[in-house]
Amino acid sequence: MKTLRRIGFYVIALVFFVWAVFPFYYAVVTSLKTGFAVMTPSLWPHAPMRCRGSAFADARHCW
Amino acid sequence: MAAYEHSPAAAHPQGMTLQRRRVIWAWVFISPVLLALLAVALWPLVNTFMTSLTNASISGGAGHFVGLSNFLQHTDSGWAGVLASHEWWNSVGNTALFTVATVGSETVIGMLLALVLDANLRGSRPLRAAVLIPWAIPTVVSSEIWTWMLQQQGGILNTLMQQMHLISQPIDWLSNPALMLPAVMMVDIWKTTPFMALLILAGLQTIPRDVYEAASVDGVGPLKTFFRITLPLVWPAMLVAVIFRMLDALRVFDVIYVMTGAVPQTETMAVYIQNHLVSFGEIGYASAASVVMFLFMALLLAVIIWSGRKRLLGESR
Repeated sequence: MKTLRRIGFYVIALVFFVWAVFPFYYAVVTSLKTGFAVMTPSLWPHAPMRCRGSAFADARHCW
Repeated sequence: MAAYEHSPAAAHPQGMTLQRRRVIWAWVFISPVLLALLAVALWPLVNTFMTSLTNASISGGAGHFVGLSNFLQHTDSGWAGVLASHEWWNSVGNTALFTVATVGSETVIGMLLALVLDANLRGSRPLRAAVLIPWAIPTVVSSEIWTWMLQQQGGILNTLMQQMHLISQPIDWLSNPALMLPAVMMVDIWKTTPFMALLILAGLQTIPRDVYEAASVDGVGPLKTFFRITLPLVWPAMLVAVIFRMLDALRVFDVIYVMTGAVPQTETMAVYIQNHLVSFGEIGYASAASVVMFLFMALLLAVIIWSGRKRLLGESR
C-alpha cells in the first residue's frame, strides 16, 4: 500500500513536471528551426540547424 | 517594563509620558511611507475619480464637468453610461467566470502540487525548480508560446491529440467562440498555479509533524487527516494566496489581449477599459469604468476578508 502510494506520488510529480516544462521546451525546439520547418510540429528538431554567427544569422549560412 | 512606562518616573520633564513620545516618534518614522502611499496609490485613484466626472477625451482634451453621466444617465434614446452598457456587463460576466474558474482550479491543482512537493520524494528539488518555469516566464511571452502551440494548423497540441486519436479534426482553440475563454483560462492556470502551490507549500511546512504522528497513532486515515488536520491548518496561507490570485484575476489583461485581442467572447473589465481608453480615446468614460471596477474589487475583497476572518475565528474556538 505504501509502495503504491509512493508510485502514485511519483506519477503525479512526473505529470506536473511535463506540464510545467513542456511549453518552454517546445519554444526551445521551435527556436532551433528555420523557414517552413517551424510550421511542422515535432517534439524535437529533426536536423538541428547549425549556423555561423548568432541565432539571428541568415539561413544561407546554415547547414 | 509596562509599570515603568506608566509610572510617574517615566514622564517627560514637559509632562509627556514615554508611551506618548513613542507614539509620536512612530508616526514620524512611518510618515515617509504614508506619504509615498498617498502619492502612488491614493492620488491616482482620486485623479481617476475626478476624470470620471468629465467628458475628457484624446481628441477633445481635458473636457468639462458632466457629473455622473459617464456612470449612468437617461437620454432621449434610453439609458447610457457604463452601468447601462451591455458590453460592460458582458465584460463583468467574463471577468467573474474567468476569476472563479481559474482561481478555483489553481487552488485545487496548487494544493495537489504542494502536497507532492511536501512529500519530500527523491527528485523533488528538480520538480520545485521546474514548476517555477511558468511563473518565471513573462506573461506576454508565455501567451505567445501558447498561442503558437494552440494553432489550428501546425499547433503541437492538435497534432499530439490527433496522434493519440483523441480528436479527429484539429480544434480551432483561439477562434471558436465557445473555446476562446477556456483556452485563455487554461494558459492562466498553467502560469499561476506554481505561485499558489508555493504559498500553500509554505503553509504546509509550518504544520508540526507531531500532529500527523498523533493522528497516525490514533489510526486516522489519509483522507480524514487531510480534511481534519491539513486543510484547517493550511487555511490561513491558502486564504492569502486566494486573495492575491483573485485580485490578479479580476484585473487580468495581458494574457487575454495577447491571445485573443479585444473580442466580446473574452473581453474582461480591464480589456474593456483599455479598449475605450486607447482605441476610442474616451478618457472620462474609461475612468468611470475604472472606478466601477475598483469598487467591485474593493467590495469583493472586503467580503472575502470578512468571511475568512469569521471562519478563522470559528475554527480557533
